Amino acid sequence: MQNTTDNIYVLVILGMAGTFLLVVSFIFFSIRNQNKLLRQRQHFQQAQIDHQKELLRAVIESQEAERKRIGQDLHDDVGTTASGLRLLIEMFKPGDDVKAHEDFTQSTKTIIDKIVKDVRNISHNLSPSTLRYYGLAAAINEHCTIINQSGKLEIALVNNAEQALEKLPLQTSTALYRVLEELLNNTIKHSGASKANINLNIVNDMLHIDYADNGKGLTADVELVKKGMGMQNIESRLLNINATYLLEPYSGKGFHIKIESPIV
Amino acid sequence: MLYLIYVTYIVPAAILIPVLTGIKNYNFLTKPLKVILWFLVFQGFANVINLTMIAFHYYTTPLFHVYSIFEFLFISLFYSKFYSVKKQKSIYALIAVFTVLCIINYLFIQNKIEFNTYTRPLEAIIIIVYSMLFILKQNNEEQNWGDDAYNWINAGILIYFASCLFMFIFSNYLLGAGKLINRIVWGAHDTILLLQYILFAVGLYKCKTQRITSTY
Repeated sequence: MQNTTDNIYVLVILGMAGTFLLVVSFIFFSIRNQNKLLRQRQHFQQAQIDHQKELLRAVIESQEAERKRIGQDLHDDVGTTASGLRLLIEMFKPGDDVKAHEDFTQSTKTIIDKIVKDVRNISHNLSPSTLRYYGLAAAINEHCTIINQSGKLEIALVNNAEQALEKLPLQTSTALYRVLEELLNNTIKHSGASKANINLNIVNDMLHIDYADNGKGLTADVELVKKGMGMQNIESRLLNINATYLLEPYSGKGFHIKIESPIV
Repeated sequence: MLYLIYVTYIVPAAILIPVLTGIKNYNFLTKPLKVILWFLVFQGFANVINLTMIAFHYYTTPLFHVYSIFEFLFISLFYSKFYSVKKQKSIYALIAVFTVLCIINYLFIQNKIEFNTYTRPLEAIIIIVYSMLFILKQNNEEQNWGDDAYNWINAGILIYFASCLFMFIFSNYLLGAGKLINRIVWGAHDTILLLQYILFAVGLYKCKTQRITSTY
């Protein structure tokens, strides 16, 4: 072997310097990396907290809106009719006139019937009895029939999940019913659509709900739509039953949402 | 002259910085940090003995053989505190094996006036592995790097042992080298040691903000 003329001491010094640089840079990069990861995690957590707050806000706001609506219904319908009834009773002067007595009885009965009907409508809105007694399919059917009869919208309901819907827990069916109700409300109020389709299917033990209308659809920015109170309300209801949803952004071609919910 | 003051007084005295910081915060120190404080106290005594032996013109090489055993013991104990009892037992076994190796090396292999160039680099390599495993573990912690006292201690240990590995390997060659070379190499060693003391001091100072590190 050829004798080397390298100075071993220089090699030692170079080795020390090289390793020192290597280790210091390694530690420096490790610090930078760890701190960067930490910042990313913090941002992510903050975003999650903000989102939760938004959802909570939407729930509170929708509760308030619901209370306001019930209050208004009670005041405008029941309250006004009851006042009218009181006035009628006050105005009535009992006499020998049988005809007047019969008219009075008839009017009060009609007004009482109206009050009963109003109260029934309000309570139905609050908690649909069909949902409780006959299940989600019947409740959706009933709601669609009412809307179809009103002529505001033509709804085509295809239900391929009849048996599965019967087994749904009340909490899940109530949430899904409210979501569909909200979607139909949105279609009627905002989309200008004339038709809506609801398809219910079972795929891999999951309930798939396809909702579509032929209205003006969403804006291209789905995130913006998700920030709206209606969508946040829908999202928090779906989150609560472990369901997921997918919004399809195709502005001008109608609105389309796919919901997947576990059956059990 | 300046070099002699730096190597003989400044660097050995600099150990007082982490030691005093540790003593001041002793009530806040966790078990691993207490191990480091005791290691520094031991190192301080070893420095005093080393300097005394040099003053009386004794060979200090045997001191390094004994020093390595305790150095490995303290640093292994420090890292063992981050692991489960089962893994701690493996580290204790490693300490025992390394101690036996050092004794055999001193009695039968490197028993002349020479450094322990077989066991010290081995010690350094094992400690580098400890340190790397620690970094791997710390990457999962959700905390700012600088807020964790252990990160500073680990950085000090890694920089010192990795940088001085070459010196440990070739220390016997350095015995026969000229004055200038020895001054450069030992000067560099002492500077890295000084850096280690400073990093230890920061670590012992940061103990107040210390969080519990998970053991697995």
